[in-house]
Amino acid sequence: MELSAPLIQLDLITPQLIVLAAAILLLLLPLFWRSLRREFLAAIALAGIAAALAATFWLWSRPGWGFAGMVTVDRFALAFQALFLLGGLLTVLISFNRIEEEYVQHGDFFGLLLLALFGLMVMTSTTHFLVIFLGLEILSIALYVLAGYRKMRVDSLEAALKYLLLGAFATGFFLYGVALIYGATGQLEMAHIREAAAAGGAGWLLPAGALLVLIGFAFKAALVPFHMWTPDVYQGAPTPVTAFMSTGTKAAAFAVLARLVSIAVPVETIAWGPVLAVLAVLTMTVGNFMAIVQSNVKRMLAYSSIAHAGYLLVALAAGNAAGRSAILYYLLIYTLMNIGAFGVIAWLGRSGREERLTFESYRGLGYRYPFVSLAMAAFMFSLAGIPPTGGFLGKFFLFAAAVRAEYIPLVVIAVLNAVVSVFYYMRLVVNLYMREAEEPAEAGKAHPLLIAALVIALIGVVWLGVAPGGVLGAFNAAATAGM
Amino acid sequence: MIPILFFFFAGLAIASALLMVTHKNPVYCAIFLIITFFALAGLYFLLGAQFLSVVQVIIYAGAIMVLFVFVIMLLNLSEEVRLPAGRRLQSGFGIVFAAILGVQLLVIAAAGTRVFGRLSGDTPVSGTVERLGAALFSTYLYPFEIASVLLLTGIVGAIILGSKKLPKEQ
Repeated sequence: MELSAPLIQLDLITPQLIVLAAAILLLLLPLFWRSLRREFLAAIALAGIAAALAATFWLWSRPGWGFAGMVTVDRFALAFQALFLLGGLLTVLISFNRIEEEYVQHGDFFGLLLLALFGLMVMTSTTHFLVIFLGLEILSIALYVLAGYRKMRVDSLEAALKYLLLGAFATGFFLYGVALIYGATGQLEMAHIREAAAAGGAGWLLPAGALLVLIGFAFKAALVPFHMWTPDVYQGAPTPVTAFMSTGTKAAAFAVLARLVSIAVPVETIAWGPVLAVLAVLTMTVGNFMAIVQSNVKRMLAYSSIAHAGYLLVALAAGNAAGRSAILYYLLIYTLMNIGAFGVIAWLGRSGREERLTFESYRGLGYRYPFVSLAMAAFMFSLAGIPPTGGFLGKFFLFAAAVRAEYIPLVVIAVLNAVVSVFYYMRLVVNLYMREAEEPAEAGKAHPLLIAALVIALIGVVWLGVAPGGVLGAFNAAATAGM
Repeated sequence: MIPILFFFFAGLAIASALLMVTHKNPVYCAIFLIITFFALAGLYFLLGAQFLSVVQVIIYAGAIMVLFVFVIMLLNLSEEVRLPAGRRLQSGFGIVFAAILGVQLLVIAAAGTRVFGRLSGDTPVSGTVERLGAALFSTYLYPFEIASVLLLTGIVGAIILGSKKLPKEQ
């Protein structure tokens, strides 16, 4: 039998290979040198991520396809890769806090984090469902373990178990959907699926499969009504892992969904607009109103991340290039502000022996710790969407795309929701600055790397809110690539 | 010959599956499950999917069953433990899902080859190891290599969760 080897273009997957190499190095090195400083391990992780980021920028001007159609490196994929790498970078930096420092010294933590990053990158730089599945599983398995990394804590184990069970459930939905799509068209590659569907009536199997794939990713992106696991998992998982999960997984889910609705199963087969609009309204409203009643800051941010998925769905429902570009822009800002907010929680996370997680425990910190409180206030303003932060501009682009596609009632509901969200974000700011603590609040000194993460996130959030030009131009190019 | 074998394996699969569900002793249930897996492997073989049938025996009848038996042994199950009665919601859900499954079966049976004809009609199915290997090392080379990273992640994760070296908490 003749073997025809596919065209192996390793240059297309350079970023993935660099991240994988760094991950394996991080897993192996501590076996030979037992007493490595965690700063050294973090330096390997950061160097790997930075090199991968550089490779991503290098590929920007030479997109391509390879490995017998299994790898699609268009600008859309590259934009998402850069986004993930930025998220991974910030996550490594905010791991330097007093709660996590005793966990991250073995190298496995960063190793698994980079493997999860690898999964994210594999998943988005392809249009083949088989590769999407493999990337998704690499990501999920790494995150199950990371969520339960604090093995001695019941809530961490609870988070890991809940995430595992519902994650497996979600994967089941996704696989069943892919199987139906394959049954309907005989194809697994998105463009081929579209061609096969256009050539002959695929019947009801194709829309059914597409909806099941949507449900699978709805679990991963925490869309209502598939969000039940989110608060418990976000609360129990280590804070840096929560930050990574809430940004990276959500971004990857939206990347695949954007490709699903615009390439694989176009609107002629299934009316995505109404389906996604209903999901968006549910997700925004439930997320915001549940966030109001939370007393735990991590749970509040979990529901807020659900609400933000709803805003992103508004632009996805619009289904145009402006919507995809807005999704990218918003996800970039969301990565910065959300990881920033979790970074502040990681810094202030412990007063003495108790974890500081209620709103009340943030009282009186505003003037004692001006920098970190200012950063938190900026992230909260940005999450609420108040100018001049990036959150405002991001929401503006999302809703503008939906207006362009004439989803006026949907945008009205979204704006009302954004107004509601101001309440609970401001509650934290009020507690920081305007309430007196019963006893003097102590936060301790922060690690320079954690401060670096907050500075990067802060600069990013303000910069993207003031000068969107260059980034938006790049994302506009990404949104039209390969669609 | 093939129809006889088909009915033999199909009958065996159905009968042992029924016995597995109805039997009270968990160990017998596990054994009937193994028989079901073997019968399914035979069916795969008849369909021309040799590799799948071997994998079915190795993975399902071998590895996964060992896991089942281990769990039964560790939990020291001898007799069936009855769930507390009166779980109306659950039995309601069960009936609904059983109805959905039944309707699906009827639809598929009624549609016959119309739904699935296209797949089996277009491409001659042959699941020999040779063909599979050729596919894995040509078209599917990239997913094949990525799958090794997936396995690596699983192994590393299992070691981290299972290792005794617990970080001190507070």
